[in-house]
Amino acid sequence: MNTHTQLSKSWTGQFVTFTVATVAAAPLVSAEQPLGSFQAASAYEASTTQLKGFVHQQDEFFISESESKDLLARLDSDSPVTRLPDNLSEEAFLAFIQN
Amino acid sequence: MSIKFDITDECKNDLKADPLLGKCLHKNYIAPIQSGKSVAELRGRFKPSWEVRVEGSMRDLFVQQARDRNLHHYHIGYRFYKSSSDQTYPGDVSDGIVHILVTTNQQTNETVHKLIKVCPHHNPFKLPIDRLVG
Repeated sequence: MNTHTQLSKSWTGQFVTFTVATVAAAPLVSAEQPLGSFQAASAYEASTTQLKGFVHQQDEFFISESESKDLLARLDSDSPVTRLPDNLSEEAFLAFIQN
Repeated sequence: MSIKFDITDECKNDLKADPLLGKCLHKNYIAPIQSGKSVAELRGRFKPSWEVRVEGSMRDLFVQQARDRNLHHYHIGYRFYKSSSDQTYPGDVSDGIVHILVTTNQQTNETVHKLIKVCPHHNPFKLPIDRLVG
């Protein structure tokens, strides 16, 4: 049995849709990622298990070592704090950010 | 219970990287909560940060500090949302994340969300495959 799986892509606006198909061309999974998230590729071969892991990983969230260090530093930072007013409009918030 | 927002200057500076970060943060997080929604009613995922996979040598310290300090994070929808399969913490996910210290004053019944960091690209995109055939 040929276990190879093909991954093809198609572009729609800023998104690229990856569609996974078996040799029999039955779609298994698809995922959307923003333009630039993938290196140039039109197809790749992988087992179904790898593909499931691939799709799962797109959904997984993790904190890298450098990010954890930065967050730990910010937990104890003496950076000045501002209380945002209630019912803050988007315009007022964006203006606040830039000031 | 009312929720107030505090923001550090460091977090404010993070938002200057791209105006869309501030728009997403306001639209998908600050505005809905200020209009009376709970975090469970938000579109994005709101999750304790000690329950997230942490890589590297700082893992144990980070997990302990995150738990002790009640550190959470929220997916702000930058630049777009996508669905998630997390059954424990539902909500859509995105690359953009805000990290939040949550404190509650039981006497005043007031909860404060202190925004300490915004990340536009939380996860480096990794492909668990050996090769791409172009």
